[in-house]
Parts: sequence; structure tokens; C-alpha cells
Amino acid sequence: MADLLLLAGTRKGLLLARKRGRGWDVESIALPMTAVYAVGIDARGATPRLFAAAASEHWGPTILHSDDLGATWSEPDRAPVAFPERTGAALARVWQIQPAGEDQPGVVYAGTEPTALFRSEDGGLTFELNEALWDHPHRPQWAPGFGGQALHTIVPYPGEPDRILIAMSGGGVYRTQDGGRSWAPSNTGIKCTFLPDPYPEYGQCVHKVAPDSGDPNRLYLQNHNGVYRTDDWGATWSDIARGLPGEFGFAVAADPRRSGRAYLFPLVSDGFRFPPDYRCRIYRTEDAGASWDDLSAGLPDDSFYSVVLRDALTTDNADQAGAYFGTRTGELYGCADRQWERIAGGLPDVLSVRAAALA
Amino acid sequence: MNTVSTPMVTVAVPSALAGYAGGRTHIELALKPSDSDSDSAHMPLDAVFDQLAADVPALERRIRDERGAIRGHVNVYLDGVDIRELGGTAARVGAGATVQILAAISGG
Repeated sequence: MADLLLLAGTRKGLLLARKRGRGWDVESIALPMTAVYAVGIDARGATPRLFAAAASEHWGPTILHSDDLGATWSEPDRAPVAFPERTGAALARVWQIQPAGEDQPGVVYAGTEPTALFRSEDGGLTFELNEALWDHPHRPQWAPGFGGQALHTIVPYPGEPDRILIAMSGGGVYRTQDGGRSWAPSNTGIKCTFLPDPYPEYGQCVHKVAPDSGDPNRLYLQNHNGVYRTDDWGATWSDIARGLPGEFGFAVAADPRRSGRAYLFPLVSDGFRFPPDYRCRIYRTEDAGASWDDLSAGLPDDSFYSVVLRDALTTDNADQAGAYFGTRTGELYGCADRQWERIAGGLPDVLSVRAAALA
Repeated sequence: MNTVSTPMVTVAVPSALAGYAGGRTHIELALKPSDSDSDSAHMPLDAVFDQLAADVPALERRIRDERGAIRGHVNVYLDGVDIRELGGTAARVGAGATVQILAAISGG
């Protein structure tokens, strides 16, 4: 069985854990006193490159990388992500780090607050702003959610590098089919409970989107109220919340090996952001959202009042992919098949989790 | 032969930032008033930071964002006076001055 590597970004640093054989080895926290809103694993090369988007309350945001599985972290002297002068903007934090497909080695995307997409062609060392999205005429209408106005989801289309789907808080889903020269909203069917029009062209507060592994046109979406699936690469979205105990939530993840399998951590509603029955449960579908089962074996039995944030639920890339999540109260769990185990606890709020099998 | 020493400015940084300056907590910068500046004995604080950005970019970006604004939880003192009382980064800096960088009590 391959070793597993887990990265957990927290509000006060980065946690690395390795699974060799049966048990997890959890290292001391790295990058202390920084909020790590995004972590990334670029497994395209011979050696995985790890990323951590770390923001210090005092000293600002940056992206660090590691080519030795987290033993050391580096960054360029000059800011890896910075807004051009003409924008008048300054980077608040990086919310997403997403390597492109296998056919674009060296290309890495970053999603930021304020809402913007950046692209790197040197493996994630330096990034440049996507001008077309920054200049999009809808920008004045994009509105920040409670967590900020951020671009948090980047889904490159496999094998077609000109096609990218993104999602943002207080703006919704947008797509490009020309390599980022133009962007169009793609929210048909996604409801909006905080604007007069319940189905606007854009403005939805999409919380996270995850691609299905078997069909590049199928994706799963956790909305601010509502869970959806598209089978036409975001042109239309269908409600798949039936069978869930709540349609609100922040996170969604899909199994990278098994088509139709996806995970959620439902909350009751936007006005009652607790797990249903105050129980810590992940819900899993095996049939692309037609039905949902709760996975609770190994999770706490007592009352649970915490939440799982948008990037704190993930899967690894092993043949039998495991699932992982972290909570705002600092617990970190992993699941092989249907049994959860506690990997770490007592952490600062968990903001982001990524995992990979090591060759 | 007379030698004229270059007037210098000292930037003092907290130990938390020394790692971005090769372990230094005091960085000496040459005072370089611009040719267009009628006051040849001083330079604006902005220009001190511009020079810091050229010499020690990894340090400077911890103090200012890409717009050149001092980060929200960073305090800057010029010879012991908060630069907010001196016109912000337009404050004039003379030879021998010390620009001290401190983490604000807020944040973290």
C-alpha cells in the first residue's frame, strides 16, 4: 500500500501527516501564525510539489512551495501573486491553488480575494493576473459573502486546456472556452435565496464545486442553500439535495477514481449552521446524487456543533481513494471505505485539506 | 583628499522579519534624494521603502502591499514618532534617521 500524505491548512499554521502502513504520523505545525486558506499537491512531476498559501495578519499573504514533502518551504523574494498597479487592488489572501492538467506541465492556477484568477507557467513560483476576468463587466455586482469575496474553485477541463470552470462567493459559476480570454456566467438552475430574483444569471453564492472522475461534463456543487449536479459542464444544474438532511453546507468533494461518488457535510440551513441533529456525519453518494448515505462509523457520537469549511473536505488519489475532513474546532479525520479514524485534534480551525498517495 | 561619506538611513525591523533580510534586524540604506527634489537633504519615506524593495524585496513586501500601502497591522516610526503624525509615507527622512518597523498589537 502506498504511503499517504495529508496537508491541513489551519488558521494558525500548516499540519502535515504521513501514513506509512497502518498508522498516521502527525508532524509539528509548520508556518506558525499564518492562516493557510489553501494547500495544494502537484503530483504531475516525478517529485510532488506541495503548496501552502499562507497569510500573516501582520506581514501579509504569500504562496510557499516544498519539493521535499514538506521538510522545507521556499518562496520567491518578490511576491508570487500580486495585483498589477492599474487594478488598484492588493492581495488579501489566496483561496485556491490548482495545478492544470497533465498536458500542461508547469501551469498552476490560483484563486484569490479579491476575486481574481492568476496563472503560473513556472510551476507555481510566479503568477500573472487573468485580465479578462478582472475586467469582467459583472464585477461591480459580485458581492462578498461572510467569508469574503473570493474565487475558491478552479476546475480545468481534462485534455482541453482552453476550457476552465471557476466558482466564486457572491458571483457564482463562470466558464471560459478560449483559454481565459472571455468568461461567461453559468448558473442556470442554481437558486439564490438572498436576491429578489431566485434564479439570476449570476450572483449566486456558490460554496464549492467538485468534478466527477468519470465524466468531465459532470460536476457536483454545494451552494449557499442547495446541492446540484451538472451533466453538461455547467450549462445547466439539477437539484440533487433530495435524501440529504440539509441542503446548506460549504464543502463538496468527489472520488477521483470512482465515478458517481461524492461527499458532503450538510448543515441544516443558512439560518441554522449546525449539522442535523447536532451529529458529525459525512454524506456520500454512489450514484451521482440520486441517493445519499450517512457515514458516521468512527465519528463522535456526542453532540457536535462545528462545521466543515469549503476546502476542508477532500479525497486522496489512491486506487481505493480515502476521504478526509477537518473541522472549525480543529479535528482531522480520515476514512478508508466506511470507517473514519481521528488523525489529529486540538488544532486551530481547519481551513483546507489535501491528500495524495505517494509513489 | 577629502572623502564624502554617503548619508545613510537605518531601517530597524523586528526579529520576526530578520529571516527575510539575511538575519539582519538593521538595514542601512543610502539616502538618495531625487534630482527633482528641491530638498536635497531629505527623501520621502515612500522612497526609502522603494529602495528597500529594490535591495531586500522579500522584506519590503511584508511591510507594504503591492499598492505601496503600509499593511494594516504594521506600525512605522520615524525617529520614534508614529508616521501617522508625520503625514504617513510622505514624511521626510534625513541622514541618520531610523525607520522602525513594529507589529501592531492588533491582528494575529
